[in-house]
Amino acid sequence: MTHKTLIPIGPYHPLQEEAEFFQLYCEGETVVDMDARISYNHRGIEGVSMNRTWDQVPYVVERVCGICSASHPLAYVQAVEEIAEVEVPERALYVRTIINELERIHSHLLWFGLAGHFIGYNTVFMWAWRYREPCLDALEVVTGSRINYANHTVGGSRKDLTPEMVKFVGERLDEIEGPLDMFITTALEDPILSLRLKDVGVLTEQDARALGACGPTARASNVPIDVRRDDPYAAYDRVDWDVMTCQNGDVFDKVVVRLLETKEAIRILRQALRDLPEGPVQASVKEVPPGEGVGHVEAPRGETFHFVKSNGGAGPERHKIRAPSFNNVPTFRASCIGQPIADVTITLASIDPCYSCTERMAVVADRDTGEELMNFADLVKLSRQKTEEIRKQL
Amino acid sequence: MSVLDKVKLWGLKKSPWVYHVNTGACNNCDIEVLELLTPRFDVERLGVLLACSPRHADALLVTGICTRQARPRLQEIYRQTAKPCLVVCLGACACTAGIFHDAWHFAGPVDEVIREVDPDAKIIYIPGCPPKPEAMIAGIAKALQDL
Amino acid sequence: MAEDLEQTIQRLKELAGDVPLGWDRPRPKRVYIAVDKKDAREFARMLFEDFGARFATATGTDIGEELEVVYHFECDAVGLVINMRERTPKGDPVVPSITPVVPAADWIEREMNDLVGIVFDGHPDPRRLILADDWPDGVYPLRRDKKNDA
Repeated sequence: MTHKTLIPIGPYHPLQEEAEFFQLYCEGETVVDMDARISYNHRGIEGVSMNRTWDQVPYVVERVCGICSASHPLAYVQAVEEIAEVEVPERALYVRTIINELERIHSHLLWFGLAGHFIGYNTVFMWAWRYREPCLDALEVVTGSRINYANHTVGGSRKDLTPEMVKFVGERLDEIEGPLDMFITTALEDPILSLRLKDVGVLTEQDARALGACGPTARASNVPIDVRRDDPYAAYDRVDWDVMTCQNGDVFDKVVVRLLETKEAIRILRQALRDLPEGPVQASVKEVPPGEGVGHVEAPRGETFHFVKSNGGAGPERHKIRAPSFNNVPTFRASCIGQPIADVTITLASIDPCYSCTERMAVVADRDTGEELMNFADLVKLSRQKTEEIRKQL
Repeated sequence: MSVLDKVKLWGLKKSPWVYHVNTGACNNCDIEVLELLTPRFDVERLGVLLACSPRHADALLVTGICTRQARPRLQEIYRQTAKPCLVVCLGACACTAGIFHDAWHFAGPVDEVIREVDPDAKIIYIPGCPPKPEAMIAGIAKALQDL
Repeated sequence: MAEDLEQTIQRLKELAGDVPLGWDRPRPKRVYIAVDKKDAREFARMLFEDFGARFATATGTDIGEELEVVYHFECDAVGLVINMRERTPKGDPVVPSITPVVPAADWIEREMNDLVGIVFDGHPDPRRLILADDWPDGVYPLRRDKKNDA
């Protein structure tokens, strides 16, 4: 488990031969329009959820998206707790915070690595993913699994933290903190990154508000929303932390917001681990009466919104799941139109959609014939070439 | 088996190039596949590389439940993959659809979709949700030994 | 000085006027407002532009004889979630689209059309969004009276 061989081997991403998800229309070197078709990954989870009992649903919804796997169950159980008027024990609120902030760190580092890869900084990819491992180890020790934690239940947490686990998590945070500072310094001071990412893929504040953007995508465009502060849940109103925002809405700002949030996540975690109160982690919930409930949490990508209707039965009558990318992906249209083709991969990546969705991107020249100019691998190559050109000029 | 076939098989076993196909997955398995490339697991030391196109691939790493939209595309990718090839059903979704067996967009499972195109296809299963990277490496290594 | 929760609710009530058919506040930060579908677009515009709420998402449901749409708006400054509800009979599954005044509603209205068969009159781009290309027309997976396999 502790191999430390560091071989920068530059993976090239597998491409999908047929464009499925994102189609970009261009004139010359500039993007003029974008379309997205999302039926490829649609699994109909809302329907699956309705055929399950209240306790089974968290295991279904944590598989909505692998990287937000703690956020969806938490939003769901909060919606149900609203209907059933459950008082969640204090200790469980802290456990929820710990798991969700660990998820935020590993998700942002994953993103940082992929973003580096798209612009040709393969070492960044390797380093960022290498430093995800301590985070995933911490999650595995606390919940039993690297991803898909199955820890949030209606009324509290399924598993508790022992003092040894608390110590283990603290030591993993010690491991991550130094490299994270290095990433932040690199991002803020590297002249090539500034030239490559500033004023690229700008999402204006007006568009961010009109299109209902959320998460770092909105916060980088001067829209200071964060569910953890606006409608506090878990233990976020019991610890000190700040919401990170930037002004310009370009890719550079999105990088900065995410890296600074990762640092804040460590700050929240240290307080939560230190102040973890004694007591039970699970309240007893006998039944869920008829009613409606809203549960929303700040996932790494933005607000995850769940709406649950109960008719007093064994499971949800209706369960609406809105992942943050559903609101953020349409903003890609606003931020990529007018951009050179070389910038589309990093612009899309800056919204942090699903990795699988990103790799299904293609440039289509002719809207009528659908004649394809370039596929995803070509777009990544163009993006890296641009970085090289900038490097040579310096 | 002709000499050429034996050489092909030797090449496949010594350095399998894998092509990753997501047919409607939550991304967990897909991210764990990328994990295999990173320093902790470093699968390139075993000769495994991610291929850019199915035509260069020795193995298809298939994740996801095979949604209705993905089904014809998966079959097309299988046809294009150089033979001989191995189809790896990665994760509970690809093996059996797992919790999505009653989803309205489910059009798999993956092995039936592939066998519709090629009844003699070589398919292996690596269950888990997601399978740990160690399990993936063990599964592929075991399959290669048995070829 | 920033507005607090009760002041925000008061301002909302004033802007809503006598349009709501029903007003329910089961928790301090959760409001459920029922409107007639003919008032839906203007009410949504009021929430988005005049009141300044953010659009989160919408839920379409088959509730038996009727189809229901609940639009979820949020006032982040005080953590208030405003759920705007409208209903229409199944025999007339058409409601006005709010996308012309709330651009963020674009995709979710297309999704509700795919899954529940609600028609959003005036939607600028009413194409299929999430069901497969070969999914049969007229089959709505979230309708109660339809089987889930097609």
